[in-house]
Amino acid sequence: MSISKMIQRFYLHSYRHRTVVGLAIFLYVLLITGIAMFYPGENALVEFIQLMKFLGDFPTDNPGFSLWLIFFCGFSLSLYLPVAGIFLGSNLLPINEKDGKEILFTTPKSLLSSFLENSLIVIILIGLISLPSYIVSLALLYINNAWDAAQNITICFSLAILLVIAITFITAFGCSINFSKNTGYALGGLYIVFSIIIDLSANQISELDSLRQLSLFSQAKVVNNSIMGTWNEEFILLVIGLVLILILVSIILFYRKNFLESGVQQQTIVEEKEEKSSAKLSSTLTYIRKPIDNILGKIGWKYPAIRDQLHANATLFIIYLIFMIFYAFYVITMYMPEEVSELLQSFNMPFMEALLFGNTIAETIVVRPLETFLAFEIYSFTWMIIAPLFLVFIYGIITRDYKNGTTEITWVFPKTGTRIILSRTIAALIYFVILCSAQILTLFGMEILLGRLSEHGILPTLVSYLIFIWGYCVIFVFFLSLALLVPSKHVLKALIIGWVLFVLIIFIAFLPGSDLSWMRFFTPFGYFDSISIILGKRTLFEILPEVITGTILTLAFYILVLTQRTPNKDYLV
Amino acid sequence: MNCANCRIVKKMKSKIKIQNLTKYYGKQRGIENLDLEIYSGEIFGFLGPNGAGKTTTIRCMMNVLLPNMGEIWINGGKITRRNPKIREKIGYIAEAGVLPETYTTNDFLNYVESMRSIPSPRRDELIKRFSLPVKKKIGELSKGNKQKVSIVAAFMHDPDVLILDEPTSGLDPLLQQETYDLILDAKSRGKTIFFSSHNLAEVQRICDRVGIVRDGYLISVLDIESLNKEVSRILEVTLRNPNKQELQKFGENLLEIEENRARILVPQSDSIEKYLEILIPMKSEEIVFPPASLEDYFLQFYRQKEEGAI
Repeated sequence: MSISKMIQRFYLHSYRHRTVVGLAIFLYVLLITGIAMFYPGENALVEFIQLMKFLGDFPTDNPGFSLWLIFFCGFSLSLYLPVAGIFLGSNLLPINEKDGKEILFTTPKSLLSSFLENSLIVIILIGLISLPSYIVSLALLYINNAWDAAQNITICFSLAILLVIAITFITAFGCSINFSKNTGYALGGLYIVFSIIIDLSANQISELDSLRQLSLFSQAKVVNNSIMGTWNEEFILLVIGLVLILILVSIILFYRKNFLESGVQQQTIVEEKEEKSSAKLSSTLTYIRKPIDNILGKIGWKYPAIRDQLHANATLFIIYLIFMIFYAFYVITMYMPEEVSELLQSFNMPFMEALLFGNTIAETIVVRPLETFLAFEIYSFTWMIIAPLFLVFIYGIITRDYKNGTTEITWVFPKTGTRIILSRTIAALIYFVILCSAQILTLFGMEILLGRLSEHGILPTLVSYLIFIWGYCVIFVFFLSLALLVPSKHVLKALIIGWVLFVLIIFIAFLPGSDLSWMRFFTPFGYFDSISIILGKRTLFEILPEVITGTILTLAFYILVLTQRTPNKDYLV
Repeated sequence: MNCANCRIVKKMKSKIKIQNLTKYYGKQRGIENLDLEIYSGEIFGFLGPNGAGKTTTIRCMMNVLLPNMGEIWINGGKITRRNPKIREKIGYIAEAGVLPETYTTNDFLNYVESMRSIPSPRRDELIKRFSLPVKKKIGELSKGNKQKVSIVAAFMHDPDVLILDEPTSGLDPLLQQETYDLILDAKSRGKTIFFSSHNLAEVQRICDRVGIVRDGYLISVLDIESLNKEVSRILEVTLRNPNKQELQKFGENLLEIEENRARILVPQSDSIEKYLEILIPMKSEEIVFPPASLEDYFLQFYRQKEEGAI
């Protein structure tokens, strides 16, 4: 096969994975933010020593390595790549007609060669996703003359990529047995859950520590403990063995001659099962929805687009919610709140402070460690991970017609485009409020568990959290407006431009004597100072003008975008 | 536009009026300077090959696309983004209508009904008539069944105006007939139907008038009788011993010869007997009159144009 054909196929295959690539770009933004938090290097080393002491895993005299390990391997490779692996694995072979199953199986190529070629493409994709992160790590370590760290990080990256390939094959393997993508996702998801449980349990039970080697989430710790400066041969062999066995089993399975026939039969059975379960689910949902619909009907609430959106995305949302709550507990259990405050005291965040938190964090850290932790967790977790991901989800709701090609159904209804988008925004907002409430309830529960609630009183805490939700919603509307400004087909371009701008701002922030505190007035975050709200340091009266200003400005922006977007453009672009 | 036989319909009330409609996609022409008037209670066929500008016109009518120039009135109201109420009384089938696959048919029809904010009196009747599986997800339906869902969604609120973009594409002959019956039934109830197609026979079968488009231009508007007169008949002959010299007697009307088969154009002005007289001595195995195609019409149209007849 010529190279040009190979590239062409690679491109054609990769269209399914553009979301993964888009997410990769987003993660690089996060990584750079991470670097910005610990910059400059000298401070970073000091801070990282404290961080590792806090985590109890500090066996090295090379904290620079540990720093990059956490931010590039611990986060990117352990959190993002496994998810990418699940998606890639589930798409390794087409499962149904829509994916081009019939086309693949009717080409003159053998199944084995198709499978191997697709696997190769997946491996290249994983490599491409990891490569920039690896190069940046090496460059930064080179600047710091940290040669040992460079060597170790190479081992770490290789292992992570091998593990991700293993995950990819686990999911592909699952798909091939059951001929359903859901199986692949379920298997991959189970593996992640297994990793988290092992990781959490191993903190308590030292006997389980060896099991950590099978957990992707604790990979940074495993590497840190075991192969710092040396090769952990057992681990490497285990991973390579796992990958080889999975590849072998997958090949045997795909090479079976009756694959297509049995596949079709089995798929029919799976479809029948799914149909039955969906029928059960829909009848159950009817029981729940009917009384709600009756009440809404009685009060004259007729907003079909909202109802439709709530209905259409309910399953996805519930899964997302469960994941979010689970992850919130995971984070809270992993870091002991009392000790986090100690860690936070050492943070030197010139950029983040100016851009996101305002000038209050330095004062607040010393005063209330738990609340600072809560606020930090909310910002770092909700805003830097959940909110952008949720935004992608919301954007999916708004632009669903464009993706599904059902534009001509929605836009020919006797409703204005503004009203349709507004309905969807409200639907998305309802989801968002539920999501935020769930997270805040989790934190509220933490306060009760730690007996901190009595210090503030229930009502003020509740009011603080309500203002929080309010702030969240406003910020959400702000991001939604930004999303509406970008036509769906240009999202990737917008992401790249956003990334470049973000990097530029960071470089400006690092210039000597640069003061970016003025920038906070250009972001809605500046109008909702979460730490102040959580601490109850300012009274509601003091915060209210900021909150109202932020709300008015954001809503004005949204209305401007909404009224400008639809009237002068073809809907079919 | 020349339409000598359209005087009667012109007396009727205009339901759809398109004036100077022009739509370009960048430099590519969609439709240019389209003027049309469709009257109450008629079935208007909008005929043209693929890429002629039919769907562009219909999408402009439904306001999905914004024209570069021109205006459209339906039911007396001007089509603009600010005036969506007009679409309440329009039924629309999109070309190769893509439906939301995760919905069940029932959910989808509920959604459409609620978005229109008006009742759908014919919903149950149509579901029964087309034997629609209402509990299945749309993604699991066959192509024909998906088209049925689009048809039911378009007709269920008993609209005054129906805009149908190739509604029979993908349907088997039985379902096609069912759809024609539904359209004719709507006509008998006084509805106005704008019907696009690339199938000449289909249009000849159900339409009252026809507008023919090609390459973004409206070529002619005819009532169906005029169209039938204008469309030449085609003779397809299979000969035992083809004699090319003999066949040359048909002159320019001999369209093509392929081995022992020949296609011959029979203009409306000529009698068929004249042609049969030449063919019978040639010992033909088979003589058939296939239904005229759009291509045949265009062939004849441009030939006449070159001759200066139009």
